[in-house]
Amino acid sequence: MAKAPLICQADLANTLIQGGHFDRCTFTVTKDSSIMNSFSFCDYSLDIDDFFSQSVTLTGGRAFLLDDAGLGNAFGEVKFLLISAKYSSTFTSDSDKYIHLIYEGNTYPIGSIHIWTGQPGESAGSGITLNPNGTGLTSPQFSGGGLVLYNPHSGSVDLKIVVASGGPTLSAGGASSGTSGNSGGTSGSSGSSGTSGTAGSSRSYYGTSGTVITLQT
Amino acid sequence: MPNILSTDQRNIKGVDCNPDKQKKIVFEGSSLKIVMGSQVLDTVNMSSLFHPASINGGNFKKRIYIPSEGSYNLYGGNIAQDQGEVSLIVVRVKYDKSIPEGDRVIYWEYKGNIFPCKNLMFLTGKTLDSEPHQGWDLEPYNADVSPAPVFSPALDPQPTSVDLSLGGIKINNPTLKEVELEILVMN
Repeated sequence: MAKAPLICQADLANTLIQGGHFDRCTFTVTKDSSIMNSFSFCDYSLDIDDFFSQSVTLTGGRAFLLDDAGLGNAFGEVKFLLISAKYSSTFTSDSDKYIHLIYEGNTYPIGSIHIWTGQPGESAGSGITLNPNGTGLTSPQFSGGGLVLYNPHSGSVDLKIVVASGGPTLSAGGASSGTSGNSGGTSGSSGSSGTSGTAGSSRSYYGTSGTVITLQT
Repeated sequence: MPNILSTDQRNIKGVDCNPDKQKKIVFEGSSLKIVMGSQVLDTVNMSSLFHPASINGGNFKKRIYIPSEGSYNLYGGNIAQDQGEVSLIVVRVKYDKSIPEGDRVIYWEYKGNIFPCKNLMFLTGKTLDSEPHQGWDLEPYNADVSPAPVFSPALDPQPTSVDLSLGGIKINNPTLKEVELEILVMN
């Protein structure tokens, strides 16, 4: 069970530390030793078909292209996405403990954990689109899916990623996964049909900041 | 001889209705686990997760019900930092049992983008008290806010009313029944 960290700085010595942590299957918000709120996951359950799990270390300035890992339905959509981030000891300021999630041309923050769920179905849009659109892969700002995790700091961040499929029309892991339909004849180049979608050769992408970032290989 | 209908075996080769073979994502102990029957296939340990609140922040939890075809606007209220950002949003969704499994999905809109939500979303970021940082913006833009936010490039025309594309989360329920949401917001 996580506990509030000890704060030894003189200016914070008398400050009560408020924060959230998992106390077994309940996310509990405490202030000092008092429970302010709780949110139970004990009865949570999500049926899935297949899943893919990977640990990645993102060194400073590096990015990671996450695709459907072959689990997506005909639209490249999956049912579950989890990204958990742990920051190295070089992160001395808590406000720096974030990475960027670049998705469909927009940048979102991830602090410690990020979970999305969807319901892939017979039409596009109800699942989480992780199939990068297009064959060129010249930009992470895929309008049709694909997701880039970017570490804008100098210190490294350990990520745990879980992608799971599900839904009535899925053919998880099958030949129809990922790139068909979107990418045309050169589907193999997108990297989505492999085991991780990131195992291909190192390519450079342009992040939203305009700075060249390079895929972790 | 009775007319007995039977399933064409060729069509069920990919189906396994044995509950022991159904993979599930559950929370057990302080971990998120992927299980199949009694087997644990993968684990994400949450025990070391600590999400600190801002010194001037807080938290709230609410349970809401969104009617069929209805929507709900989630705002950060007075726990958000000055520009409306919060550092944690958790939403769990529960559906009426009569809704078919494949129809159990709602949608949330954030800054003009629409995302599905089956039964859980867990968003985190980092905020600073007096300036926008890396949080989730739950303050919809309103021209009455003082000082007015400065956009670069300038928006044309300038918005004069609440514009959800500039902040706030709008949750839409397209199902045929009311859905129940449990929401935790923290900053």
